Amino acid sequence: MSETPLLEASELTRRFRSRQGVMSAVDRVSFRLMRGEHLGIVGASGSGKSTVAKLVQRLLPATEGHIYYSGRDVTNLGERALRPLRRRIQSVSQNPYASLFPNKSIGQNIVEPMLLHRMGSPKERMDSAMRLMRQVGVPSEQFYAFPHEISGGQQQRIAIARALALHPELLILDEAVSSLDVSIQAQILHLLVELQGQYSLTYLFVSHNLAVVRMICTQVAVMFLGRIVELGPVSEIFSHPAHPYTQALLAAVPDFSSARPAGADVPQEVDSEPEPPSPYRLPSGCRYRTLCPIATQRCESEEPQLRTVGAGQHAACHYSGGAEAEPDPARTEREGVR
Amino acid sequence: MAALLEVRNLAVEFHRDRAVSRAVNGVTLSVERGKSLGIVGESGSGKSVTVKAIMRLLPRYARSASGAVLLEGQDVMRLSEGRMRHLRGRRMAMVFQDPHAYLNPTKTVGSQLVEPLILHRLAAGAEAKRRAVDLLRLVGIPSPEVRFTQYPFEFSGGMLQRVMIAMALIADPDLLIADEPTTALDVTVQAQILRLLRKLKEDRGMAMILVTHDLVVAAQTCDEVVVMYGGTVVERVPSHKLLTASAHPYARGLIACTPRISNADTIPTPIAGQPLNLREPLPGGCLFAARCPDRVAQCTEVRPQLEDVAPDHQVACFVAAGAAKEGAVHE
Repeated sequence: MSETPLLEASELTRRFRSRQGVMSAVDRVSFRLMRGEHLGIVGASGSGKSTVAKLVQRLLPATEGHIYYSGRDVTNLGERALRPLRRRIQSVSQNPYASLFPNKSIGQNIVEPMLLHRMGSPKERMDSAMRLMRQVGVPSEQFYAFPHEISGGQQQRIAIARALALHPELLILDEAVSSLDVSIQAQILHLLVELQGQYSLTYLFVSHNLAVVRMICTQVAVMFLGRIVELGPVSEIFSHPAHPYTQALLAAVPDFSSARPAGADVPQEVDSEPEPPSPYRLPSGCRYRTLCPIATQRCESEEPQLRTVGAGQHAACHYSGGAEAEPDPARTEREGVR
Repeated sequence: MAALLEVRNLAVEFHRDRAVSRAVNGVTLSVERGKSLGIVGESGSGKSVTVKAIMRLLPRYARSASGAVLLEGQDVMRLSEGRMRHLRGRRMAMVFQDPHAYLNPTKTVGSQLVEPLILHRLAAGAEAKRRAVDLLRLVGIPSPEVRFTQYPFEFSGGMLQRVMIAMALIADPDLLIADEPTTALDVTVQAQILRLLRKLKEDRGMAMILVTHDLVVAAQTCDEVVVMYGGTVVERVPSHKLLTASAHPYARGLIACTPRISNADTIPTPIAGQPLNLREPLPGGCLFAARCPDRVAQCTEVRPQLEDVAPDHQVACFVAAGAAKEGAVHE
């Protein structure tokens, strides 16, 4: 009964060459995104999450691997053959001002993609743009305002309206709420959730903000230096992360529960900065092992692959749950905190 | 105890292209020796302009319409530039959001650390180098002797921020001002830098001002927090009360719309309306009135001032202050 995923990445790899040598920004990344699901990609800067977003949009050619859209291999399609696909995949980026035409009114910005894809008559396009503006919460009287005349939150609303103009199936949101102030961010999050249902959209949501991913997404992929180290349902991964990196990431998020009481704990030691490995000189075996608190000999010699550790949950660690290793008590305790 | 730094009714305007932007509109705050104060607010709340005014680092087109910045009673706004230069670094020092913008990419980190030591006539030659290496070690940089000889591009973002902190500590200031020091960093690195700042503040008995848009970061790192909106302080609250017992409707709104990882089934409640446009004349009453769910008639007529709701807790809101008074009467 296996349904065809809307988007599938298979062993997707992108290498970059520079004076320092060759590095894999994205290294053998595989995931399946079903229609109506929402995949969050999280990780530190340099983990390759934005590169994945660019690869699946075909904005950057893959070095190796394949991208399937509705079961069709689109990895090597030519620009002309890609046009219908571009209409079905739309994106919203971090900086709304940079993504809007500064010399066109905000209404014309929404009309533009419809014009390029020869959709409707001029009247229909204008009506549709007005409707979209109202939908995203910008008064349609502002049709002739220019991007610099509206606030950042409003600009992001317009960028979303423009992405919706072509009735896409897949919306790629690359840090789409990251530059917004929290009061505005919450407004946009509400809008994104509302649109999910209304347009039966599928989101690929790239963000460094784990709390936001937890709100918007159904699935999450955690990336570390180009590899997916953990993948699975948001409900599973946020409640019991299996990979030591995911655990460290979640523990570092400042949260209300961890706000310190008056005059509490002052750290005793200055912890020196643990240095993540250079992407040009990755360690042997597991690339997280130099930072990992539970690394062993085996992590040095053998690269862990993603394997099932729970209900739909996959982790690339020799010692994450499952049949491979008996849970040791100290570890269970650590995980139990979350 | 007398405050180390006291800011009284500070106002700053930017005059440019015949337009006026009212960035800071009467800020009053103080920091005691050895204590830390968080300044939180959204973009345009005036938090960064306030600390730059304290350091006298504002551009020429900025005008301080009113107010005083008193460092142990001395008004730094009236000091000559020469006296000010003597004071920066020695009495108060600052760390910024983007270390790349403040370090010279063509000079080694070591030479940039040694330079202020020589400039402030604190050390020279081999002694200067030794002190610079010690500082790098102090802020948790591994193999400081090697790092001393490297250029900024060879450092990660978190590591460079540690270098900036080391630099700020060179002349042993009484007050360290950190303006969004962790905003550009990954969460795991952010946690380390915040721990470092807390540790340094404690060890050196230094006062600290931490400017951040993240309320949780402020609550975790500081002793006290002021919340800013539209270039004014709307609330001053001990940090352990910030997230649970803040009184101003804007502060409570900010807390309600902050995404929480532990409570992510519900999407945070946004604050209605748009932030204040500081290029337009300010409204007569409370600056938050147009977006406020608790607004009463008085709010659009008179600008509320900070009032005590508890001995250590002040709020600039008629409704919140009124409720506190009533509560006190009933007790």
